[in-house]
Amino acid sequence: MGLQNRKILTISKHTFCANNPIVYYDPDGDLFLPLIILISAMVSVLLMATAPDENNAEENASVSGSASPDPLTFGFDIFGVGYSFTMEQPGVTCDFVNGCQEFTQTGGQFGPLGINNATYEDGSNTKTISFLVFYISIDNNDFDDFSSWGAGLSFSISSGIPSYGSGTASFDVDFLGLIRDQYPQGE
Amino acid sequence: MNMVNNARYTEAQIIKKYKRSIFVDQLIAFIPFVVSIFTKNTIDQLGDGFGNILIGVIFILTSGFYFTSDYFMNNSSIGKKIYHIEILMNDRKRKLLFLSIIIRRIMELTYHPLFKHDFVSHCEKIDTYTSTCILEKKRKDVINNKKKTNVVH
Repeated sequence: MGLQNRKILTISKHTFCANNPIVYYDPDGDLFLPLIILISAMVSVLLMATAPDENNAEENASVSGSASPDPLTFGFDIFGVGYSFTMEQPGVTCDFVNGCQEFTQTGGQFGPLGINNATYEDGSNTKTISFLVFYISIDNNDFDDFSSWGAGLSFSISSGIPSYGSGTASFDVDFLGLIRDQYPQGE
Repeated sequence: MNMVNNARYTEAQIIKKYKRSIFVDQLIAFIPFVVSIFTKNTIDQLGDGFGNILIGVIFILTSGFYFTSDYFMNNSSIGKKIYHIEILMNDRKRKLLFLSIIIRRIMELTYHPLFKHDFVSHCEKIDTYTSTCILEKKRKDVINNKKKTNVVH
């Protein structure tokens, strides 16, 4: 038998997963999303901790929520996949630096592709294009200004039935902003 | 050495094409919507709320096109035409049901790659619920070439 001449590592069926197929086994990829959340949380906390204080890096992590019986909203999406349409839905977004601010949003989701236009109470607006949980955003259509760009991860859930009501909740981390804030302003 | 199962290999190729075709169709429906959102501020200058109306109309039109394109474009939406695949009923003879197409499209929209990687099982589920299947289209140029090679001189 040729097996007798082989090394023991080549015979073991579970060498590829450190001989622990119970712990290191994920055939359905169910752990992928929790892994993204865990890594992004660790990296964002690290970047916030290492950024200069005057840059207010904490403003790059924000929590948003909206709920209203009035606007025309239908469909559902979860973590960037679904089918939904939102028209002038009022909501509130909060971060550690600027506090809370009201906004209205219009947008939609087609499978993994999403777009959103948020207009804030101070008159500014942000347009966001997303693919799954990854997004790119631009403030006030100012394409030339690098500081108006944002990119990162958005974990959101939304659902709505016309004339019954709708609600959204999301947690966004702007990694581009966090990286930008690592350097002193003006450089 | 294991022999490659040709039938399974072909099936895997079709599923890969099907997955890509779904994304192409979603992109086609998504692009006009993106344009309408980005031009909202300009359109709003024409009249108050005009931008919102346009966004709503474009979303309805693109959604309508996305959900029904398979039915009205001879069993193949634009994405499926690009990848040379088509939808047929399981018995291959009946005309494609409108309801099957709509359910198929809704189920395609619910596939979340971050929750579940296994697109093959999702495809099987769609096929079972809608009594339809995805098949490779026989390309006209290939058929013509075969006809030419079969000609006896």
